[in-house]
Amino acid sequence: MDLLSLSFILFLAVSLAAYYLVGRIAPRVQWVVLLAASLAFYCLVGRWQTLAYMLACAAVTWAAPLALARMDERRRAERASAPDRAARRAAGAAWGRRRRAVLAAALAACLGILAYLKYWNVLLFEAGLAASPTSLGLLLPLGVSFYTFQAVSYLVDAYNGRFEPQRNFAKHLLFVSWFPQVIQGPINRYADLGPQLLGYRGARSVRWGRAALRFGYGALKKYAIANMLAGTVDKVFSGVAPDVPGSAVAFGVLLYSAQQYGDFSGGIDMVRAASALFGVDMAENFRRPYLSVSLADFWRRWHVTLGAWMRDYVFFPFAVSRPMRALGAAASRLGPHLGRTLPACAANLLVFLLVGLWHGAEPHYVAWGLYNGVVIALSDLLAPAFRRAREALRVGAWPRAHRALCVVRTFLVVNIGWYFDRVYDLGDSLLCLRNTFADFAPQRLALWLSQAGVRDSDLKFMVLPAVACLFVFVVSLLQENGVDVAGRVLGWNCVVRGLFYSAVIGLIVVTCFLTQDAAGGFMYANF
Amino acid sequence: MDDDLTLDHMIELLEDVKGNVDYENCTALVDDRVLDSFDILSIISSINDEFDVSVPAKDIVPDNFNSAQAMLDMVKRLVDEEG
Repeated sequence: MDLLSLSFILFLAVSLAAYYLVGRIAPRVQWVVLLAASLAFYCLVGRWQTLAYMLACAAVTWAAPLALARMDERRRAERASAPDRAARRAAGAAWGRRRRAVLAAALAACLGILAYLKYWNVLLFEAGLAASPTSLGLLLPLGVSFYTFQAVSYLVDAYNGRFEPQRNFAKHLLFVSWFPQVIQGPINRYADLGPQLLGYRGARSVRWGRAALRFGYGALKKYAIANMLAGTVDKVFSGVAPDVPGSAVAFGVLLYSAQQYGDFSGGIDMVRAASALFGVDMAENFRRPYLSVSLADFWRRWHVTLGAWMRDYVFFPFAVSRPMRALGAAASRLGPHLGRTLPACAANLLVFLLVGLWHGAEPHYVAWGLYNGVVIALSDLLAPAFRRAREALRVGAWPRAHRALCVVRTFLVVNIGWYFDRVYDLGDSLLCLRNTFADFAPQRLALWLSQAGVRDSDLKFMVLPAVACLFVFVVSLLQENGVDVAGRVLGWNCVVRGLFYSAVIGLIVVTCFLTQDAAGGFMYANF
Repeated sequence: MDDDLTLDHMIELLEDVKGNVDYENCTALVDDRVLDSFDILSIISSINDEFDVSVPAKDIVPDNFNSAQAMLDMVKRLVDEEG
């Protein structure tokens, strides 16, 4: 079910009508409509056969926190009745071990299912034990990585006592299966999303205008940018050969950066808008990433909820672990900066290795993750040298120019990373990278593109995504400067607004017709 | 130990980690990105050295690091728990 389709709009309309109607009649069970809609959506969009995996993940992450809470009660009771401090400590330690065992078993079950479905076939293929990465015929459930990570965050937060675990399985299942998030995230947290899903919402509290604008903005990014560029990007990278000119690769990667941003952030805008229609605000996932001033900054703005998940459940626990503290103490003998940054650098390398693996077990994803980790680690380690260079060059005198240069530099660094993400063979990624620097050959670009199947009409129609990119760039700059763009648009008089809406809708409609043969799905739905 | 657990002591510790910050009044050190991940790790390491208490990963949440007072409250709680 395409998000910009009659079937989805009908689905949304029926769900909204039922939600607000039930809300008026029986507000206490209004959430049941959301659960019914979510399960129906999952069966309609994904494969109903894979629903069992989601149910299993929800069951494990529902039961384990309840068991943990019961164990916590018993620990408190035993500690309270202990005769002395030693007995109190012994009781606390014994129950602590049991609680950790339950947590580990639940994590192993959730992540084990994910690993089996996502990586087992690929690993067998890489080891030469399977005919292809999909030869086992394992059905990859829609949004499996997203709902698994979301459920795991609930499990760990409940273990840490951040909230009382949910006793009602159906309510917990709604948190795991909430339909706008299952396609490609964002990875929400229970403390933020749970109360919104389960509380009463009246239609009057919804900001319909803002939600519609966000949906339209997302559709523009998805259809006028991502879908329009997808075909050309596929053609450029499907025929990578040793003689591919670097200019063709650079052209393809630049288009890919726009395509991927349009697809992922556009899709997120659309599903956040759909969720907002029910009065449920999901977490933000993009904050104008291509205006970042460093790669670390980029990762705080791109796929924000995955970054936050990694920060809270991998980076900090690993960085403050005993071995990392010992590493920091040992490194501080060589200098305070090294002592301060080395544990964080090691934690960053681990985080980005996992980010790479999260995208897939193929070597090019691992290389992409490590590339990001190494660049960020090096920039942290070399920060004092960079600071001295900035002072020597007196760049502080031109802050705006310096910022602009940093944005351009970051854009280039990010795009080098995309080589490993988009070219699906590590050897080809390295070949493309080499040719970009050693054999750019712009004079061979037109001929090579034509041989790769890129038609003149493809290039001519690129004016449409270019216009859309310019529009997104201007909106991003305004937002970066604190302008409430949606508020401004909604404040325009009806004639100006009508003209503006017509232009945007026109662009979306035209690009929809031009990309009828393109797949309606989202790139990140495959993760 | 309890004599050391004062707001002034905590602010002194924070200034050693990162200077030029208004620790007395700022209540959104993490939310406003005044402190980044490195700073948090340095603060945790300093707390460990100065107050002889470990900050577990579960306590590394913005609410515990948004102000000097919040960090002091967290350290007091951890000292109590360890005792």
